[in-house]
Amino acid sequence: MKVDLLQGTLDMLILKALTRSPMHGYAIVRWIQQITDDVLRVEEGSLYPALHRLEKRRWISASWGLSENNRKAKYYKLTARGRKQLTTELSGWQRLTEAITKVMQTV
Amino acid sequence: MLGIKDKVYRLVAFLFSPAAQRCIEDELRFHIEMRTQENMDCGMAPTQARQDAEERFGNLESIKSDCLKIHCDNHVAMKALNCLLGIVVAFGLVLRLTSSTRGIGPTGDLMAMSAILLRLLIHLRLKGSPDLETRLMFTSNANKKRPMRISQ
Repeated sequence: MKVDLLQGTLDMLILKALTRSPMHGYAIVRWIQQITDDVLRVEEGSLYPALHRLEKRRWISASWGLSENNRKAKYYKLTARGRKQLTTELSGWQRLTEAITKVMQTV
Repeated sequence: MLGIKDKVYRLVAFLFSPAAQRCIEDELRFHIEMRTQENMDCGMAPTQARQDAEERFGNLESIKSDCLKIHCDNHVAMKALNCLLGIVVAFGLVLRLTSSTRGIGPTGDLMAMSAILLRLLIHLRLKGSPDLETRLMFTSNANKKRPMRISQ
């Protein structure tokens, strides 16, 4: 079943992932999968246009480095602007989930 | 299969930002190789591991084009446009300076002015345009044991 989800959800997950440390795309995918016990799975290819869009908005910055297995990889890092954006998105998300919970808890 | 628009983006990126195109390819290839390696570490045969990695990744060509579009929207397309309009302005001015005695000087003026005005209009139009529209899809399965997939 396919359902429209709020715009920006994947962006928010990416920004959150990068609060820990700079990561390459593959590590972001793995992190989301692990942290949600495999409940959420990012469609792997779709991550990259999102990363490039966030970089364009200057919410994240990118640089090339060496991966854990000594391969050249593009690492993304959260910028101050991105951190601010994440705070905004988190508060919006909390308000939304609270509102939905209220609706669902009505008898 | 890539559409004409995608092919134009590829060409513009190839001409004005070959390094960006290479970076995107390297980045996507790295992802597929990492997934392939992980699959092999889990016991899959190399061919099967690669196939699975490519399937999980999705349409590589289309994703590459999407990344290029974002990059082109950023500055490569503007670089190409500036270059083209610069040539028109220069040609117009050369026409104006060299052809005044033959009576086609005003054509040169018109070309140069049109190119400058067009550039100004594009600048004003871009200032007010929103970011690329994004749409997220959330796919869930009735079966709770299956993971929910997030795509874009």
